[in-house]
Amino acid sequence: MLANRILRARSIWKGPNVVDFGVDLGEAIKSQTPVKTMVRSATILPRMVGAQFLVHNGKNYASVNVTEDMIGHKLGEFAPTRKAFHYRQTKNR
Amino acid sequence: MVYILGVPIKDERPVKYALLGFYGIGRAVAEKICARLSFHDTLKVKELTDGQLTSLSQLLSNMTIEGDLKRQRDANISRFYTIRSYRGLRHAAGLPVHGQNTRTNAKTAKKLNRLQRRTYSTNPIGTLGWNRVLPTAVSILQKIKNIH
Repeated sequence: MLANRILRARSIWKGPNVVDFGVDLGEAIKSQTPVKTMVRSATILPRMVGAQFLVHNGKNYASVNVTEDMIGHKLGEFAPTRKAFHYRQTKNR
Repeated sequence: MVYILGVPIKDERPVKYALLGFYGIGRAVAEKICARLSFHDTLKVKELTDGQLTSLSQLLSNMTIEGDLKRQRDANISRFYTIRSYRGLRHAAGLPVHGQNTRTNAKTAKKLNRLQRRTYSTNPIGTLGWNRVLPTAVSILQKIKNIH
């Protein structure tokens, strides 16, 4: 997740990373249709609150329900890219 | 031994260094406080007049230190977790948050990272450092002073 932390350290004068999803967000929020996106680096803005996103994590799409607390974070923060490590002893002993 | 603010108890040390005993005050802030209140470098805590003590306590109470700071930090961590952000999940899992290697190392993170983050040592003398008196020692010291 190192890349995401560097992205988040974005100079203030540049403003947030505003991304056009090619979908009318107002419509998407009303109809609750998920917005599929590969843009994990998109900053979550107030107009995105209430929308459902399907954020790519390299393989599938993780469902992210945007709430007011999430403003300022990036979409990718809520779509983990790695499977959690579980130690399973193999049966080939 | 003097009570300043909450219940931290200071010894006969220079004020500039005794202030380090507060959680949230480091060397830079301690210097600024002494500069603002015009305490000279070697002024001891026991030499503070009552007026100086009250102004110091006033200044400290306006800063976020001690319990306020800890609550703020815990609130931030729990906020990350309730949002389900990556950072919150790492704190909950007790793993490094800043992208460090976990294949090796990560001992500190595994020890300290929690949703209610722990502090370093469980030894009471270790956590208090040079500037605070152990709560159990307070009563003994008071008794000694009464005898004198």
